Amino acid sequence: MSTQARDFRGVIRPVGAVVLGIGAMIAVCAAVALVWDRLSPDLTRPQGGALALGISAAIVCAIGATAFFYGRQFVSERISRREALLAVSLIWVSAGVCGAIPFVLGAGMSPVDSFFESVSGLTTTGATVITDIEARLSRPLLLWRSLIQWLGGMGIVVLFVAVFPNLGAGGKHLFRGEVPGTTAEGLRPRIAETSFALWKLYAALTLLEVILLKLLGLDLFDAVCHAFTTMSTGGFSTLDSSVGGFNRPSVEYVIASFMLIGSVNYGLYYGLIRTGNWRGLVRNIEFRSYVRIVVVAVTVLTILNLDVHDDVLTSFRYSFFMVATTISSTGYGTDDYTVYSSTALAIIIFLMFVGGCSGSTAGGIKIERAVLMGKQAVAQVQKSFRPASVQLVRMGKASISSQVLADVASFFLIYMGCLAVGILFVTLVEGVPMPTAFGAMLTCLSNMGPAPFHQGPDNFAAYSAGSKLFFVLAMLLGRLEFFTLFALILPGFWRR
Amino acid sequence: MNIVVIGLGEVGRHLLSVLDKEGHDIVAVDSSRKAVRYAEEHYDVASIVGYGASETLLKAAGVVRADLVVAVTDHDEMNLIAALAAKQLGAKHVVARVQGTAWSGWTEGIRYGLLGVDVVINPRVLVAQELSRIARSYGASDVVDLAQERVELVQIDLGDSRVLNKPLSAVELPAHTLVSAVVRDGNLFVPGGADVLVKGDRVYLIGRPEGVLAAERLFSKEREARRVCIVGGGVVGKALARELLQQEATVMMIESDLATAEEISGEFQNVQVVHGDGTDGALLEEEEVGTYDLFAAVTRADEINLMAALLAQRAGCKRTATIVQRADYTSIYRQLGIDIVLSPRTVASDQILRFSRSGGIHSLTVLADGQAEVVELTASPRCRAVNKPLHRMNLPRGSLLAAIVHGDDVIIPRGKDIVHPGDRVILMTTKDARATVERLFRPRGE
Repeated sequence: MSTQARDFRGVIRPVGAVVLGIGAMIAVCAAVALVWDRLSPDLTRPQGGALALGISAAIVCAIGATAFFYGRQFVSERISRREALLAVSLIWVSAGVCGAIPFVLGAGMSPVDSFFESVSGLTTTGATVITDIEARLSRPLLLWRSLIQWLGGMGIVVLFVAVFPNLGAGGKHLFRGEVPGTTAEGLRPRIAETSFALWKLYAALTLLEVILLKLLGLDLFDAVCHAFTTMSTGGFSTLDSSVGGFNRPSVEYVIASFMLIGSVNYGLYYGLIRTGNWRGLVRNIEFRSYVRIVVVAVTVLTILNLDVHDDVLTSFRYSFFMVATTISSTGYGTDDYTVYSSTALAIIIFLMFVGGCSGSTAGGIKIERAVLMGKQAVAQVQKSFRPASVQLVRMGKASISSQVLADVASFFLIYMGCLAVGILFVTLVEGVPMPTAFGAMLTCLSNMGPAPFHQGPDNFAAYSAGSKLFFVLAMLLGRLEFFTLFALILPGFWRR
Repeated sequence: MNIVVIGLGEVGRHLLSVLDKEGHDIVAVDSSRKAVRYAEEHYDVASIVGYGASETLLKAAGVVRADLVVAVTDHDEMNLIAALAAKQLGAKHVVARVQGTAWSGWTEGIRYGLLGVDVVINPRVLVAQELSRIARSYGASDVVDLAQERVELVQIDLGDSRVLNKPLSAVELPAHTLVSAVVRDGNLFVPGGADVLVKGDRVYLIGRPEGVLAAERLFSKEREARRVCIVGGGVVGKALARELLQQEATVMMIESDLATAEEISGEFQNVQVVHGDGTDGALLEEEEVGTYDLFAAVTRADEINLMAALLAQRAGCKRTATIVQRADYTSIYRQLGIDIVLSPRTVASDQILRFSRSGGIHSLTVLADGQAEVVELTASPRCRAVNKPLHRMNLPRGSLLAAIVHGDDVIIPRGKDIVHPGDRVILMTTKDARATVERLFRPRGE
């Protein structure tokens, strides 16, 4: 066995390129926010912040440019699988660090808090450590906070692959490092075009939501920020009381609808637009299961919540939003779920586990995986009394190979393992009750946002710095769906 | 361009690697999951597992909107049917590869419009023809016919020769010939008058066939092959024997299968057929292969070809030729001292690649593993390059206008020569210069 280390310096340049891109994004954000504050100032919020963004942009660009030019000498002809996994991991971590700088400079937050906030944004978790958003963050920072969520939603690596079309098969490896689902790719033969198509769709849907929210009378700033965090199924809000703060049923219905739209496989939308044929969407098993789950959950929750809300319509309004925000792993709040009955709460926890469709911006285990797991379980049970029968697991007409099933099963195992280890860790370190630790871990792994079973306010401000970093890791694991980051732990990854 | 490649064997994979680099939208199809996974892993292409000649699969692969559909599975009939079906479904160009002779015959390596398929290629026959041209040459290691045999491109590996160690301008090249490129230590360059050739260089000569033949004498000490020994009586062997007999060469063929050997003996009365193993050193000695001018090992098995050629070399044969299925092995063969190494895969992909380019390319020959290529095209009346002298054409560095075919006349152009609309031109370009050159010869506004 050889113990020689591999040469991984080929990843410096792509990572540098992404950091440079993030620097540019901060700069654009600063410029837009500056102009915005000049043209239509909002005196109810804290002022300033654009300068902090500008300085952050300069710092991040400098780091990115250095890496980009230093890495030039190590460029490998084609990014290998290993390099891709490492690059994706590094891109996410460094993007998290870069995204945190504006919070340190602009809001006087501690580095760890800023890092938590930044990664929570990028991974579209939406968990926050800021207890008083409205008093703490100025508009430029709020815009940045929403923008990183938007960037992380469809994926920074996917954006990178779309912008640099010459990566060839290396681009494919990068893409898979970030979007490991089974059906997300293949919209177009070339991966760069696939990525570009996904981003175009994503941007178009976001724009549509901005327009709708504006038409409903929301302030343009709030409309943009909420559209960013709805489509990415992230859940950062500009208000302390989240979307509930608007207290406008029409706004809630629009946002809930877009959260549901955002957690459907984007490949299905692409097929719909290209062929003009609804069949592909309607016949898709995952989509059908998704719709079924949503309909059943909304119905049951509406009935159960009649205890809390007086009439059916109000109960439907809050239940619909609750189901949408949970299954899409967005995490906006309009309703106080702590007063829900335990049956209602159980349904919400179930939805948190399942999450949205594969190939969407939602988190969680993903419906496709859940369905496959279920079918596989049934098939195995059937084998116990008919061992000779051939039990193929099917998704629609396509039969699923045992390779994929093993992949799904190990995903589930890793997910549950992480959850268990996380609960233990948080309980031991923080001394909180088991359900609290469970809520915190589940919300991080599923990239959901709010923290159920917590005493007091619905956020992470009270945790120690070490636990916050641990949650950061959990969020990254959940967003990159485990395999990418865990690959780096194995010694074989680094050895020749 | 939208391209569908059906069949991911040697040729299919090679096509994917080249087409992927050129930035096309490619869908790869094969019935083997393993082959498809390999393609997925290594190239930026979409892929489908399935039976290549089925209508549903072809539609799913998008042949309806495809600009080029290439059928290169191992089954001739499947290729033809897949190509035919793709054409019916609306594909712009379809190309099928065949390996037997039931469809292409013995003499035609390329057939146009057969059964409605745009192009049917038989690389084995093409390779045999190329080998026979090499046999006819004076020491070339490859010969390519261009412009319907009015221009020849030959590749010569320099041994001891009169042209060494002096500037190229001092070498008196025969009229109507040109040294278009030199490969030294694996790197290709376009030589100028001051460049000096050294032993081991690979030189590409281009020009009128009679001029090129005269030039070969200057560059090499070898003679035309009058006596040729062929190992392997398959499609390549038989097609080669046929061509060589037409050139009135003496042919001996070694075939290991008795029935095949007898059949060949009956078919070719002028061929001396020997039943035996081509890798049997004693047999080769006994048959005095050392006295033959050229030894061509053309069985289907790469190992047999290599071993037979090495044994023949030891037995004293001066020029050895082999075909190789796995084109990756080519450079290794050469290191081992085999003079001529041809690959049906490269021949097939050259023929197919020209359809992936815009603007009606008649032929395309890839040189030095893709570092450069020679293309043959008709100059459109509406392109930038026509009606002006060569020195004002602004050809980029690394490219060369090697020949102009004007009517029946072949001109090896100098600074003042002019390309007229409708002329066929032969261009050599390196990889970097290609895009610029293509722009010069493409009709304006396209």
